[in-house]
Amino acid sequence: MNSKATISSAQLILSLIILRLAFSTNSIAGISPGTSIQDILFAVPVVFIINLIIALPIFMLLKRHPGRDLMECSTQIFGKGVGFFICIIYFCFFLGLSSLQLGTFQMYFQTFVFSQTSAYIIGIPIIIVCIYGAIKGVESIMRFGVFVFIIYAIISTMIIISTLPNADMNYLKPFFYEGPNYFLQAVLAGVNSSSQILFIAMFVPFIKPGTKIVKAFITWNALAMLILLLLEFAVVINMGPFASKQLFPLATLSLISKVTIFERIDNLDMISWIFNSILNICLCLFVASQCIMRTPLKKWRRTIIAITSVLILIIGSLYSKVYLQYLNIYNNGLFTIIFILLVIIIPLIVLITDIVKGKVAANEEVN
Amino acid sequence: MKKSIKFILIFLFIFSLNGCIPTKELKDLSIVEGTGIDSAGANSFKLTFQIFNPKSGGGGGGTDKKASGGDTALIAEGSGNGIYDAIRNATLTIGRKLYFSNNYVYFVGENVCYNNFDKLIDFFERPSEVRPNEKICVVKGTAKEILTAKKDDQIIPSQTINEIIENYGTSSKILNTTLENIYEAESTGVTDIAIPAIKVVKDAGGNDTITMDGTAIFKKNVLAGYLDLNETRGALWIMNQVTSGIIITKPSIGGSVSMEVIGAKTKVDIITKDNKPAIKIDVNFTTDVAEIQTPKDAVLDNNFLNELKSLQEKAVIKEISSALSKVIQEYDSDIFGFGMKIFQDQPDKWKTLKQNWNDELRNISIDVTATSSIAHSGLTTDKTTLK
Repeated sequence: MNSKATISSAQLILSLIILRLAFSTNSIAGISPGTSIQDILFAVPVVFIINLIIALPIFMLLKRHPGRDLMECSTQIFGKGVGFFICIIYFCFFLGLSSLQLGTFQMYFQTFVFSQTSAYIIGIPIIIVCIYGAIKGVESIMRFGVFVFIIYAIISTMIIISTLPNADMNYLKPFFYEGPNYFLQAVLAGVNSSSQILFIAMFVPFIKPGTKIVKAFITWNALAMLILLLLEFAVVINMGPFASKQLFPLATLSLISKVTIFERIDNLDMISWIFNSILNICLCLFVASQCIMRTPLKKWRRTIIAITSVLILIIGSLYSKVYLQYLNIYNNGLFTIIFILLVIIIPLIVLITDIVKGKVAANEEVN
Repeated sequence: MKKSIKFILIFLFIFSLNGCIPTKELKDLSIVEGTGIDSAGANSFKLTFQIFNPKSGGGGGGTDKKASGGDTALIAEGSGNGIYDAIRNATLTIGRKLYFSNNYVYFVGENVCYNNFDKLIDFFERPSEVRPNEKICVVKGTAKEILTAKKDDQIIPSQTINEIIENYGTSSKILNTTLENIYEAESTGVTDIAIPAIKVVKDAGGNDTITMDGTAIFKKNVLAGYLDLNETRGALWIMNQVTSGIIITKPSIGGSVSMEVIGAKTKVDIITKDNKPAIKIDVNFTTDVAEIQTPKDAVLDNNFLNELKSLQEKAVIKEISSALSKVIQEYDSDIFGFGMKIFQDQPDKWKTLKQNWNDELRNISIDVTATSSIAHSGLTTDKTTLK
């Protein structure tokens, strides 16, 4: 790996926006809000604020250890034994996350293109490209990320503009007719989909020196939530309650878009899905390999990337087969527990231990 | 060594670039352009497909369609318990898989609309090949009659019917219902469905002519009845879908003046009247003087124009009232989405109204107002006659 690789905060922000947004509207099907679909719009600003709060332990920890990622901090504070254990936990999380991304893409492809195609046939080319990306390193992935963001922005803008003539603002009314249930579920799904906080913590060593990490995080959070709000707004005003039955609401929106010659632009949406999936899996695979780099297993990095990729392919393909049973994966209890553990509790424990150790060391120096 | 491994890997990778496996070859597909759905028993359907005939159009260079390869379209049929079963059974006779992404219109036979229409909705929503912007028509008779109708020994293609509906704005007497409209109405659980009606008539020469014939009104996914063409325009005023069309007025000097609608906007508001929700429909439209057929010279002065304005407003209110009366009082249906509108604007009142919505709808107060303006009179001002 190239240890001198550096990325700009803009590259990081744009790539992680794609990671946050790519499949975000799919969670609507898991919430199934029916005629209360407009309630989910209120969840977006709330998720923005919650993200700022839950990221505090991680960023306080990173501030105490400039230029180090979360795994390095953990290993340094707890020692190699516990550090190794923490690295493996996060490695498994990133492995699982990339499997969810791949499984979602496989499901999308089978639904929209050809249901008889094997999930493995869809997954293998994607995984091969992702292995290549992960091995090439962070600079290549981030450059690709900027390219994907531009494509995604253009396609999403086209979809939104071309559906505007069909928009019905009446779908925005009334709010909270059936109480706050759907709103709360949307908040939960939104927060659980914000694991990019961990990605920022993992990319710290690569960010150009002098970059303010917290500022980059806040920019990412604000931009991602703003774009998400726009996308969800477009889905709600165009499809209303019908959107809550859709597995892939944005893809359905692209099916109904029509302005002059722009009709059925779902093919463009498909391009965006392919690019988004490759970028997201690449990012997850790279970050997972970074977890391994902080352990004694680092000499087998490439082998581990290859094995991880095979695991992603297998788990992702299995997930695509049970996709419909786990539509609410981002707003269910188990995922919430895992998310809280990895994003809040472990960093908080590391932070507290670091503070306590620091104070003990300072006292010893005084004595 | 490393180079040769890389070369082998790149070479192997080429094999993954040959497209989807299994493949969807054009030669193995029958491209459906029109689908007819008729009932064949309690839960059974009989489907008729109009399939694109690749031999009909191309390569002729002036030769007629017969000479260049036959009919404009091919017909296939299939029956089964459910739509998908019927589609798959159709392949037993045609040997190729039916492909629906290029389908223009779904024609639903009247018999299905009375008994099994709700069973169709799932088929329309689920498969990715079925596009939300495809059109749907109810056939007065069987769907097969439409798809097999012939003019000059050639099957009338679905594309022609699609074009008739696409140009609905010219007369504003045809409802343009797409599958998306059905999904949206269905997902509210309150709004009923309205679909354009179509029929086949035979002319003196024995040729079939396909003609739009009003609108089919549904109540809870069962066909309740039809609106004629004028009532359909009344409904279109309420739905804010009138873009053009001719209004015939009868001025006091006798004869008639045709006014062409050049722009219209309808606002439906929920207001409170006697502490109950009431509906206010306000139409604002602009017309041009299109044709004057009066026995005496008509002078387009202020008095005459004001009279025309008043007459066209009354005509529009009459069209709207007749549509409202038929849809709500006679068919007990809510195709205009009034229930949804009350839910959106007065959710507290909706909580009590929704229990017995159809009865409430019959008794709800509806105020209709129309305001208009006349923009142009064409190239002339007055009717010219030989003096």
